Amino acid sequence: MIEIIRRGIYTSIQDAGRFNYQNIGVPISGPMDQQAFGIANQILNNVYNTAVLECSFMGPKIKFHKNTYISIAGAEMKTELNGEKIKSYTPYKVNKGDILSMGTSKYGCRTYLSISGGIKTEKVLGSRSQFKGITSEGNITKKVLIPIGKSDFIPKVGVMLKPINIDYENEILEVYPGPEFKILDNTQKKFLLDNVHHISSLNNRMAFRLEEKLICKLPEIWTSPIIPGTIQCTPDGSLIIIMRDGQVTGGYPRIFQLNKRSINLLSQKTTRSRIRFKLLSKV
Amino acid sequence: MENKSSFIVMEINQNTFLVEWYQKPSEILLNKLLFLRKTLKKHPDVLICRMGYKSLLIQLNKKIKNLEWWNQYFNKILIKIEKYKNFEGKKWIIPVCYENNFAPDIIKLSKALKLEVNELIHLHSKKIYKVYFIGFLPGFPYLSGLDPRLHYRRKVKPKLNVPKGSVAIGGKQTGIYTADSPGGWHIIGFTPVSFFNPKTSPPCFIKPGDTICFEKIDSNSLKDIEVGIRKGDYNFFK
Repeated sequence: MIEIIRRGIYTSIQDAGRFNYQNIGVPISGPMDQQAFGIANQILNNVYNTAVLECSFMGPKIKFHKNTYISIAGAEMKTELNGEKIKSYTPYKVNKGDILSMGTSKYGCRTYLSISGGIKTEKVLGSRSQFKGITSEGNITKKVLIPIGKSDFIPKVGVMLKPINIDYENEILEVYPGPEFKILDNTQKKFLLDNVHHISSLNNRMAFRLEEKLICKLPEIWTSPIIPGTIQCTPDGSLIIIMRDGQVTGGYPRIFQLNKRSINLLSQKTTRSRIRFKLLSKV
Repeated sequence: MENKSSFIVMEINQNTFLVEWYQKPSEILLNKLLFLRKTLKKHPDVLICRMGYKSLLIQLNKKIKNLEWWNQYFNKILIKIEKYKNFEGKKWIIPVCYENNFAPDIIKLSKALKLEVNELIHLHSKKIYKVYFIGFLPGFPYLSGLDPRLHYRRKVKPKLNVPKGSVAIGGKQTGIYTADSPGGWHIIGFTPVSFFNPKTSPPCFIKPGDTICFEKIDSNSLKDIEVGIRKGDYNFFK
């Protein structure tokens, strides 16, 4: 077990996601930044689908109730184990009674805390990823005890895991043209592709809305399936980027589709972050 | 015979593509989509196939190598099947209480539509609705067939919390809120039937191709039905 002493700003349990239920309206969920999630698990030789804690903006304070190993990847949060600073991208041994305290994010927004053997909460519809209405809680809402698996990690002697340099300040999001991109005129395309845009305060695991609006009179479309990274344009010109917990269908024109790398990068950005779109010629 | 230009295949990302038909949604197209989905499920490269009103989104378990191949694939299957066997869905009767306490917007909406409340209820409950697909919320069925006399634009300001079970009208559509959610539709009733439960198998009893009827009930039978549903002996399957 691990005990959440302080929950942080928005902390949730995430495994790779819930894949087979989009047909009945259930979002995929899973880590916002799949790359950082994958690295955190890889460091401990956990399988990719191992459930971790996704910590946003400010991480939790945790007491360990058994011996295990941990690793941290993603946004940089000042993290201390029993009061001593620890590094990201490195496996650490923790003992029963140890206290891990994660601070605010300095670089990026979302940090992944992986535990050897993984978090072992109940699976609902094939996944441990928390989502309101599916799992009993939509995120870590209170001081709780969370079951963890048995650690089988053996640290390799003499192998240094190099910190992985990922540029979270990169503004460029790579996009494919969406199905309705072709109905935009040149001025609208220029507006989208030649300007810096900003993320509005409406950003969460479901969707990111941009501050800038497109001047347009686009028709609504017949509701169609959408996926994380789909950028929709509402009748008032708002641009909405669907994220991991987003709706599985949408009725607004689909302007762009972010590629996988760019969804991960966007996950590390927040209110007022600058972004620019780079149109990739076909997939 | 399938006209070659009746649909378009578009890449969405490296392993996802969309097939979208040019025509308007119809039961004929719905049957076609259901048939294609069934066929695609057997294809070894297809991971997920999802439906919209007039589109299929297909996610492969590998990168898309040749989109034209898929274009031809769809043409081939559609030509092969000259006559689409009608998809025989299940029929569900959904009890709805239209009384004022459970229908906060019914008086306002009937005035806006220039209908008596009883006429509105009659028009809503006499129709048979077809389930096109599930989306928006877990278990939320997209239905066709709302009487044109009940079409009315959505609220300008969506309500922050529409309770689960609310039956509502928005634009040309009617639907049931299958979970508490923000929403801009006009609430004209309440059903005690739960359309989604992650703890049951399957979590959602309704499927694309099924039909739904709404049956008007009063608040007394609503209580009885709620008890029946809890005990598991209420049958709303026709």
